[in-house]
Amino acid sequence: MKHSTFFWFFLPTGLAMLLFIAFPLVSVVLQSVHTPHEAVLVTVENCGPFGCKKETTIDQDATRTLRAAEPLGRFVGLDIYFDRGHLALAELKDAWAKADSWPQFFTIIGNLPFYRAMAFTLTFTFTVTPVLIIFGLAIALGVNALSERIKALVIFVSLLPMIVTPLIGSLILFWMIDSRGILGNAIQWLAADPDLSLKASTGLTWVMLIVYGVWHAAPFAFVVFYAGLQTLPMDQIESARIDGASRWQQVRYVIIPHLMPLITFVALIQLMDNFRVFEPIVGFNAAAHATSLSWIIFNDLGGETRQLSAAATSSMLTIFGVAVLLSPVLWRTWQDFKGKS
Amino acid sequence: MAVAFMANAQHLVYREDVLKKIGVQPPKTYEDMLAAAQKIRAAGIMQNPVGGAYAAGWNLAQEFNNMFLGYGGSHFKDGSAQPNVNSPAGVKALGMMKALSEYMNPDFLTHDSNATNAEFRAGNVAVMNMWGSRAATLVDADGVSDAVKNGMNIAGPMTVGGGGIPASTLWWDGWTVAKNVSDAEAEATFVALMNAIDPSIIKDEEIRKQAVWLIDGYTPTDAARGVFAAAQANTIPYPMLPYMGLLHTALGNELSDFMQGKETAEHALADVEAAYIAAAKEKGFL
Repeated sequence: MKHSTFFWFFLPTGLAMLLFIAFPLVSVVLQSVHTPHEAVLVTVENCGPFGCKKETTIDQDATRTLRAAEPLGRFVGLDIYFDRGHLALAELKDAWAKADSWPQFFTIIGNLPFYRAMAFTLTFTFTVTPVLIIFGLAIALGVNALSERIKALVIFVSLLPMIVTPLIGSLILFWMIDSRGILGNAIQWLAADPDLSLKASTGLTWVMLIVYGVWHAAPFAFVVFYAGLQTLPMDQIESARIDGASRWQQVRYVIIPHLMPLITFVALIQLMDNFRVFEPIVGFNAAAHATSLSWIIFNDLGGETRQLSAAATSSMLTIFGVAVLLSPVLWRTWQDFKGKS
Repeated sequence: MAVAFMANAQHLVYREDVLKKIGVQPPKTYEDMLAAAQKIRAAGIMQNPVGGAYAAGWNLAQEFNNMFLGYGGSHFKDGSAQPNVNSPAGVKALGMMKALSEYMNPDFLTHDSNATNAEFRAGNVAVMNMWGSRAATLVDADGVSDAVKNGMNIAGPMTVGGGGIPASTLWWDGWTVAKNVSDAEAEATFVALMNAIDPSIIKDEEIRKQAVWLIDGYTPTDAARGVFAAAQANTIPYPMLPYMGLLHTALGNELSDFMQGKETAEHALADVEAAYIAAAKEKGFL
């Protein structure tokens, strides 16, 4: 493509990206290094239906003057990044000095919101992603081998978990695994323990969220792999068969290498998606056992007093985390690209 | 300035039939509530007779606020934004919450007030601290058994630890008109909202029982007794301080570890204060 053709072709997309992605990002970066002004507090007499009381409140006029002078707020540099709600450097140093052993160190930092969220997020990402790829591939191979007549129906049913809104999907599962729900009851019966509750145990809550994650995302991998299977080189498969390759050997040595670019693609997308895990934590009411960076952002913005700077900082840390997570794959793609040209 | 139109408070909701069976009066204190729960379980009537909106987050923090105020605690050091929850009253409040949770459905950290009410409707709960605004319509749902419908009763909020002030908070709802709208819009808003709270609306029996109205001519329905009892017992209004929201959020996030038995009360409360201080520094309160 000529450069000028490419320019005009890309211009609308580029403008939209600038407007809706780049500018908001700049604003998030700015927000994360500024905090609101010191609050000007005054004591006033506050009378309500239950009587009068001296109360502290924000002096709105004085605060407005401060804000008009410096609309962005106080510049604090990376202070928010390093405070207890985020990277918690001071607490980390303290834990390092206090802890006698690695397990003790991890217990202490596991109590800090950011590291607690990372522990769950990384466990979730690195279990769900490979498992869903394996499941997706297995479903795709299975469906591909079906007769044409029932294929359409099976494809539709296999896609259902992805069609269902994540929040609804997690709510349905949440009610089913309730200790009074059908699955919760079945598990109690199987374990012969009437007090067993999935929702009361951190370990089982993690398992439940991971199972949900796989259930929800496996159809995506399935669709991609199924499409890839339609482009299988039949001559290679045939020659493999003639050479006496078993079904497993055909999958291992012909089909998987053929699908490898797609597997990389699904892995990339899902690493990103799973790192930003959010809906199931809300849907499963699981905040007591599992949190993620996205959940922290939601929580910072959802309180009575919104913490915009804290939320912006968590957003930046999420972007940074995704970049680190994807860097090996991106690096390899770049190497491949250089090797080819 | 606001125009108040309804009041609310959390208070006792209980099953009269169940308490009669074990020969106990409706509890006036949380200690009585624990004793009643023990008896109900021992008699084999219900395994987990205590209900509570203990869902991690806003609900759990609110239950702590109730108990903390009941033990005479105050959330902030006098006249400042410095937190004051890591105190003897805080530790006692958590101790009582933990003791109550032993008699709750093991999923209590996921139960908000909706889920707690569902447990009550299903006949699994005999005593709970619940919002007055929910009392009137609590058992008006399909599939609620007659035992629950006829057995449900309400009373004022409970005290705790021998304190004189109920372990609850008083709330009122009102409306205001924003300063930054045009005069015409402000007038329209005012007229619309004045009509919405016109004293004639409470002539309708359905509307009368939907809330504890602060409207002229309102006489309390049976379902409003709990909130009125709360007001008469000098229940403290929810602390409406600019930085209270941040402390509430910190409480909601940091107390669940204690409720799961993963850390001590002092540790959890120290975490609450640390989380609050980080947030209050960011918002310019400290």
